Amino acid sequence: MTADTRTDEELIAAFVAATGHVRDNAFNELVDRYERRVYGICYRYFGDHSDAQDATQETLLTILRRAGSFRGDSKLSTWIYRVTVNVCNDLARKRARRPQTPVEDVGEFAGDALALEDEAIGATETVMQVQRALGQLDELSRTLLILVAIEGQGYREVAEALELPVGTVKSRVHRARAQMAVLLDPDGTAEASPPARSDRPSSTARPTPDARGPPE
Amino acid sequence: MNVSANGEKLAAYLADELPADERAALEARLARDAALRRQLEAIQRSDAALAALPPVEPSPDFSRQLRATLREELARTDGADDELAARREQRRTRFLRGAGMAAAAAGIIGVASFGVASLLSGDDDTAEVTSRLSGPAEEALALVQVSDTDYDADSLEALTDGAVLDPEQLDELSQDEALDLAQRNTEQLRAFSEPLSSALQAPTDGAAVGTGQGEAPAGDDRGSGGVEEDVETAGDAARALDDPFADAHRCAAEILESAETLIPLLAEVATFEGEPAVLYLFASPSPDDGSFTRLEVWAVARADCTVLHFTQWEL
Repeated sequence: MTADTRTDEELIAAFVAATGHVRDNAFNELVDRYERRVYGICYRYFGDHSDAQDATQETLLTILRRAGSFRGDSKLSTWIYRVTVNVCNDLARKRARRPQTPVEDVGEFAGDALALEDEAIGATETVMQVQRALGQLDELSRTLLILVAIEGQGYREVAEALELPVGTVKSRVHRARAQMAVLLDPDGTAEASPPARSDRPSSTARPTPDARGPPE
Repeated sequence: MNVSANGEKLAAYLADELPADERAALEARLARDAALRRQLEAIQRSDAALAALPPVEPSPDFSRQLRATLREELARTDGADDELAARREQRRTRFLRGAGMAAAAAGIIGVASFGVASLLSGDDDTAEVTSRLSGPAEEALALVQVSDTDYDADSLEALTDGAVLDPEQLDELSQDEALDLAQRNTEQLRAFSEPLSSALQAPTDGAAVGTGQGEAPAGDDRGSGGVEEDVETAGDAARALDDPFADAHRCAAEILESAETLIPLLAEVATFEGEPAVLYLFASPSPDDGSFTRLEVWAVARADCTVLHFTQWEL
């Protein structure tokens, strides 16, 4: 089978303009290219496969429904990252009342329930610790760390996706990395207590009803 | 220097993103400060742990189910345009029947400004009547809706589906355009129901009503106590006649008076957790830069405009 050599932007344009089989093929190719990436971001955001599945599905449905609004001002990947982050943030707000369920089940990471060698168990516990630490960061720090440090995206693209200044992205990523170090090894960062969650709300944090508030 | 400042600088150092002078100063400190070196090593270990995270794969079952869902959505959107047109027609029909019943019950004659006089003759040909609507009335058809949906706190985001404007498009408006839209939609929300609300005072004060476009009915005293007084009266009459549109206007007035600029996107008369309510969807300015990137929903009781639920979220 010949690989599809069209760029992402050509695919989305084909999806919007075409009908029937041609349209479906274009969208299937986009899903093939982005499903894993979107899923990975969503999973690292929530630390939970069920939430990651919900967020991934909602992200791709949103892409499908709003494909016509993509103007090509940025790369398609940038737009998809933006939609993914917004979906994750929205879902997190809806889940806010649900108690945090830290990932405890080794099977969550091991896939099928197979007996693990000691070394594999150790590695899995480290992964669990990292995932747990990620979950303790504020939304923006976690998002930036996922996109930059885990997904390997550049500062500029992430800044464009989240509509933040590049300098802010750099600074927040560095701060998040330092926070992760404290969360993973509080004794190793001896002299002070672990940093509190960011005092400033993230740019995508759900605002609390402001001083105006609902009428009495 | 506190931990956060240290940590951020150390992380930037490891990423080779410090200016040369700061780099040199930090290296000098690292040479003499064991605790700082421990912090640096901790960040290095943390970075390594992040980099070593295994890729996460969706399960094959999920991938299959996802593709099936997306195919269904593709098939559904093929008929979306036709469905949207059908929904708009249904909305017009509901409005006309509702307005017709309220107007007929109040004995209103000639609410000519909205061109619905033919309703009073019992003319049930809504298509013909629809064609006579123009200006604010026709636009307000989209803004104010009546439905039998019972909302709860978890389903309020569905209101965005019925908004007169896709909230995502608000981002494309300039500040002036947004303010203009806010003014127009607010006027529609008020102007739509006011003549009808005022006209509904007729059974109470005995005055003739509906004398023409924008004209206050005889006997209507707007000078003292003004709109609020009229609205309360209209509200009583509205409840007696079950006029949802007057309630939509009345409760909106309270919200809009207390607020900075809001863009009304929808006023849906429905129920909230079983209670008769009006649900308003507004776009409001973000505190960061004033752009209309925030949505808020107010669910208020039709009886007295008590706020039943309030929520807001960023687009």
